[in-house]
Amino acid sequence: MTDKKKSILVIEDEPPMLQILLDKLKESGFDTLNAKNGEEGLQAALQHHPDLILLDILMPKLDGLSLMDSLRQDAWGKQVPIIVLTNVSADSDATLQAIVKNQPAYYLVKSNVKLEEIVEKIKEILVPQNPGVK
Amino acid sequence: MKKGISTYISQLVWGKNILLTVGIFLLYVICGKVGLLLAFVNPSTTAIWAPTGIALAAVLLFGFRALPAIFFGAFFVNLTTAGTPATSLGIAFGNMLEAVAGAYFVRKFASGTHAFDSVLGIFKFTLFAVIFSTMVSATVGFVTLFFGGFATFHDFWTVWSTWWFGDMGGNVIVAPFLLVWAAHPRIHASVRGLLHFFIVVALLVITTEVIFLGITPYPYLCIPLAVWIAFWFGRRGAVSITLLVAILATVNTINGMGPFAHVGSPNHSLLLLQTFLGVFSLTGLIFATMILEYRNSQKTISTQERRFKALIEKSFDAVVLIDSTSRISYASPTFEKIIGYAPEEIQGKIGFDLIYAEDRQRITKELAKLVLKPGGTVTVEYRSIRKDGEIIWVEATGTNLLLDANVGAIVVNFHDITDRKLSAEKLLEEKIEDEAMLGSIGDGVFATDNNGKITMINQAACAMLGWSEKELLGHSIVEVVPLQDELGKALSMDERPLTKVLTLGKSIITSSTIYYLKKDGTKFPVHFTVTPIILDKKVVGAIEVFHDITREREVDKAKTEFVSVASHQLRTPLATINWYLEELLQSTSNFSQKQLQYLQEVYNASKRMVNLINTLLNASRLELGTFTVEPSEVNIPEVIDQTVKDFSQKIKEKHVTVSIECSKDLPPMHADPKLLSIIIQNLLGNAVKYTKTNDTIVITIKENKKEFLLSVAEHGYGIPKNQQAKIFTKLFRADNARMIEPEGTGLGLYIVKSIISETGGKIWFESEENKGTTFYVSFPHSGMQQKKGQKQLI
Repeated sequence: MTDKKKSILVIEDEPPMLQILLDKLKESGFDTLNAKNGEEGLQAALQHHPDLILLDILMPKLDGLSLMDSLRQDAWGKQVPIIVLTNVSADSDATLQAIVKNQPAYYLVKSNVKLEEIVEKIKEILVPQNPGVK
Repeated sequence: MKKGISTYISQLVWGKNILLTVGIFLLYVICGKVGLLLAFVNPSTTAIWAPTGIALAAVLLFGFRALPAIFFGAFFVNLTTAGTPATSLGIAFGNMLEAVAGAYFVRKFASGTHAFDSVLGIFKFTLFAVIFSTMVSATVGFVTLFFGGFATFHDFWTVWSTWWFGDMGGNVIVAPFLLVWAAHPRIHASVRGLLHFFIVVALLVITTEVIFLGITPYPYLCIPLAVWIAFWFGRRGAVSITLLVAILATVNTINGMGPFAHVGSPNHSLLLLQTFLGVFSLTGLIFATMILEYRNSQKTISTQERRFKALIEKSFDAVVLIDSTSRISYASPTFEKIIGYAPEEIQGKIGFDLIYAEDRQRITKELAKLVLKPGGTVTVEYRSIRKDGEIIWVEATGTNLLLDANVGAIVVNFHDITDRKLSAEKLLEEKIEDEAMLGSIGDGVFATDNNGKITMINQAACAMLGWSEKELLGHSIVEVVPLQDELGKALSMDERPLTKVLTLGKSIITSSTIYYLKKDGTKFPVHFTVTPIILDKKVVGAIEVFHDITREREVDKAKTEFVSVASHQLRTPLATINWYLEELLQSTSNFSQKQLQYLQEVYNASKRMVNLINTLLNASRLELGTFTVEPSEVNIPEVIDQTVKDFSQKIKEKHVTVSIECSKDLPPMHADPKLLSIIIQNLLGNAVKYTKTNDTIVITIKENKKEFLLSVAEHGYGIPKNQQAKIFTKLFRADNARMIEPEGTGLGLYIVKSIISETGGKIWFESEENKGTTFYVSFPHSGMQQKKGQKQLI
């Protein structure tokens, strides 16, 4: 339906994870950008304005929750869909507050979600009108 | 009527009393005649008139029966002496009236015939009978004589006073003689006593004669002898010798001898003599009566003394008299029983020496204090050394009677209290031990009565609450120390576990976190056990044991954080493995069937690892009770369907069927879908795991009047009977479960149970080994209770 590929920024400090995510997304027909820590990620996001951001939480330099805070300050960053993809359970007050405040589209726990499911969620967000996705 | 009176009168005069009447009459007439021989101032007026005394005695002794004899006696004496029948009648009437008046007064004021039993009686007798009543006769007599023409107004004083004195003499000398002897007519005398009496009487006669012969003019010389006789022979002696002296003295005086003769007219002499004899009579009589009274009181005292002595000697208490230096002057026989020393052995010894050395100084001080307090009392307990060396406890009461003339000592009575003391000491020791034990318990402990008022509280409790024991004892804990829930809201009176225990009589062990508010306003989390104290099936109080769980909570927190971080760290490699495997498994063309199967196994194991981590994480959250319950309207069959779908792979592998029986029109339940699905996942998972192949697992959902009821039944291995009680325990797995399925956390049912009890539901089961198990879960219509926690279960 769309000729222009949707771009996704993956911010992930764990190289193997980053790699498989990038592979999977490319395979699924997305353009990908990546960053290996929070600072880099924020910079990349503001610079390239991706269509969606996959965001890890525990990262060097700047953690995911803070990154989300900064991003939401930005005019563009205010509305960009974010999927939090982490292995930290959403059980601490700080996390829950950040979720409520910055409204990520999803909060997914890596170990509990299949790659395929991640792709489905992304598609759901980016091409909701397309009934053939699922 | 008339006949009655006349009969009475005739009886009175002549009847049964004829002898009495004649006797009195004769005595009266004789004495009267003798008296009138000595009538100097007027033929009818004499200074010696014994009949007055006879008349008074007769009326006192015989009552009015004696009156006729007196009347006729007086009439006869006067008629045959001088005057006319008319004057004689008047005089007789006066004499009778005098006797009546005298007797009346003596009976009324001086105990009648017992007038001479007391000194006071004698004085009253003297006043009323001797002095007053005789004025009646004198007055009536003079008036009669005056109107009869036998006396002029000029003679009044002489006649009246002579008459009066004569009658007084009769009453003071003759009447006592008759009355005393009438009361005590019998003589019990020894030969010696009689001899003594006659010697003294002889001496008295000689003395009287010496006086009244005029040899010596001192009439009071006979007084000592009268006293002597009164002392030795009592009232009868006194009245008898009075009469004797009166006769001797009168005869001598009439004959012109003695100190009273020749002092004026013969009448005047007789009046003086009368005075002397009256005094003499009263002196002897009063003295004899005083002696009598004294002896009687002595007798009473000695009876009392004997009684008290017996009381002291037979008393259970030993009685000791000591002086201010504790020197013993008397010890009662009981003393020997208690201390071992015989009373005579210990007399004159120092009491302090018997006191155990350690107590001696204390008791010495007590005695010194007591000595300064006349009439004061002190009770002390001390150890005493027995004669045989044994040390015993005694309780002694000392009373300071040093200034009491009758005692002049400190009276100490004491008894052995060794048994009591030892048992009291033992009790005290035990009490101290108990208190020390309670005080040393690290947990807070306090007891209350049935009103919630604190009756006992240990140090730990006081320290934890920040209140002193004094501030809390006797006060209601509920009023003084507030309890708060997790959100800082104070628990109301009725919500307090203590109140519940006191009203319901059942123990309560708290599991949710409650905070005690300290005196300084800070708070700390507690867990406590409140137990009712039940006596005779009634709740008489409660005991609360509470434990500050601050530290446990810190440990728990650290543990959870650790679990949180650890689970993150564990998940990361697993997630990586899973994702890579997922990709590999998709590229089916690159691998052989076998390779694909191997990869699938690796993937399964990795997934199981993830599940295990999630389960552990849930368990740690449940333990802290900090998970969230967010109920919404849930369609239970839908949740079940979804769960069955999740398990479809395993169900297929095991060749079991799942049948869902759902009652029609089942309303949605107010429940947290995540939690509900955890419950069903675990129950269904277990059912699939522990049933036999080809079984049918039956899941039913019903709604009855009270609740939603869910059951999961299988027909497999069952839970061994002896392990059924532990089935909900954390990390517990039944023996047969381990055999059947080596993999398993032992956390599933624990989590289920925790969720259900935290949300207001119930879980139970029925199981028989090799027949199967049915789990039941019920929730009230209201569904799950909402709970604000920090963490969600996964």
